[in-house]
Amino acid sequence: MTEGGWGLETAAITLTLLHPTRGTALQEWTFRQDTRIRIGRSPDNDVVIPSDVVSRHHVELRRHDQAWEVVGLGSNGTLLDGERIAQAPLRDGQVIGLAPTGPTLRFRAGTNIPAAEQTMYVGALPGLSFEVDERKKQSQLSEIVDSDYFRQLQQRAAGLRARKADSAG
Amino acid sequence: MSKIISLHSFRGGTGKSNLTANLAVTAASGGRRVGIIDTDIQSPGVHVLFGLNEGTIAHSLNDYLWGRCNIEDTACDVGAGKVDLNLDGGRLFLIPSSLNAGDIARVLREGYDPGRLNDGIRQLLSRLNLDVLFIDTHPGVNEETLLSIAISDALVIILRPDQQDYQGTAVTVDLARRLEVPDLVLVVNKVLPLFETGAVRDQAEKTFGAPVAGVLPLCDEMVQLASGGIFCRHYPDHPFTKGVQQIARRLLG
Repeated sequence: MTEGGWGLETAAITLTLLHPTRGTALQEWTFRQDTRIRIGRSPDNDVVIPSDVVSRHHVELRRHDQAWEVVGLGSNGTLLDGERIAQAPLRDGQVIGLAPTGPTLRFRAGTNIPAAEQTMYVGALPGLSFEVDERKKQSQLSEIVDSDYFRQLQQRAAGLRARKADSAG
Repeated sequence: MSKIISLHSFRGGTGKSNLTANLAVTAASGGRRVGIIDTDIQSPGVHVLFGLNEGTIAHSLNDYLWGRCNIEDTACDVGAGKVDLNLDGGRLFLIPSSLNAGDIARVLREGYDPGRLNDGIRQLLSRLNLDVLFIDTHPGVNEETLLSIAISDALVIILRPDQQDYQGTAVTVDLARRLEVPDLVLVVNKVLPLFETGAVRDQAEKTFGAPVAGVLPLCDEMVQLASGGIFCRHYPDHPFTKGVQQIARRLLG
């Protein structure tokens, strides 16, 4: 850890991926010694955001002494606090938008940077594994498909669709 | 030949009515004659997106189901005079459910005859000469939603990437297969920018054994617009809008 090192604390920054509607944190990255942070969809970035509207190499943050700047690289456009930019100084608390309709990252520099390194997930993220309990499904299904209503409907379904076609000519 | 497309989700809050309205506008803007029927009689919603309220609805689906009027009397021509909808020669009719609290209470108490709904839908297709009818169904599974699925040429099942939607979606897919719906597709809605569209699509197709017609993002613009209009018309270049166009092409060619 670099805490108490030679003034590196002041260089530490965090980037927080914000929930698109609630504005809360979805994921956070902390950097301490880097002078260049690359953000994009491609896995070789420091911050990887697999959204379709994010370019493979979308944006770069560059440190010059204690000051940071943001440089847009991708063709989808970069915003800083809602304004479209190509290159701009970056200050604590500003929000970087990746494409006009894309994900947003809040930039924090200086004080109140958490001790954790690199990627950290905040709160419970919705999982991408679509899990279904097969046994529960079968019991839920049998309640419905064994009913008289469903059996009749099953027998009539093809006829209902065909008659509709006739009447509509 | 006219086509019936049902939109269904196992739980509420998936954005079903919003997707129905946006798909219908997208379909109509290709010059088609399009209808939307709101069969979510217990909690109607799609009318709001077209600026209708209790005062502007003369006859509702409830009136037809209770024998007070013909089905075509309930159709509101929501495309007429609406320059901002930009239908470009297409027509768009909405058959709303009643917003009257007493009417909703009566449906909850007495239910209605699914057979009469079926007759009404067939009459609508011919009397309004519709190319497409979208059915905005009540969430969950009951006799009316099963009927809607059974008479449909295509079924769109909407889910969020959220554990509470998966079980019910799997059940609905299975029911639709048993009812031999000719075209069954999934739409994953409200997807966070943490996930790649392709990965979401692959996962969903593998889990539910049905093709995914669209993966739509959760976005602030949708919250801002709320139910204030048709999203696709307010944000024509937005990824959501492009996703809706893709779904429309998949369903209607």
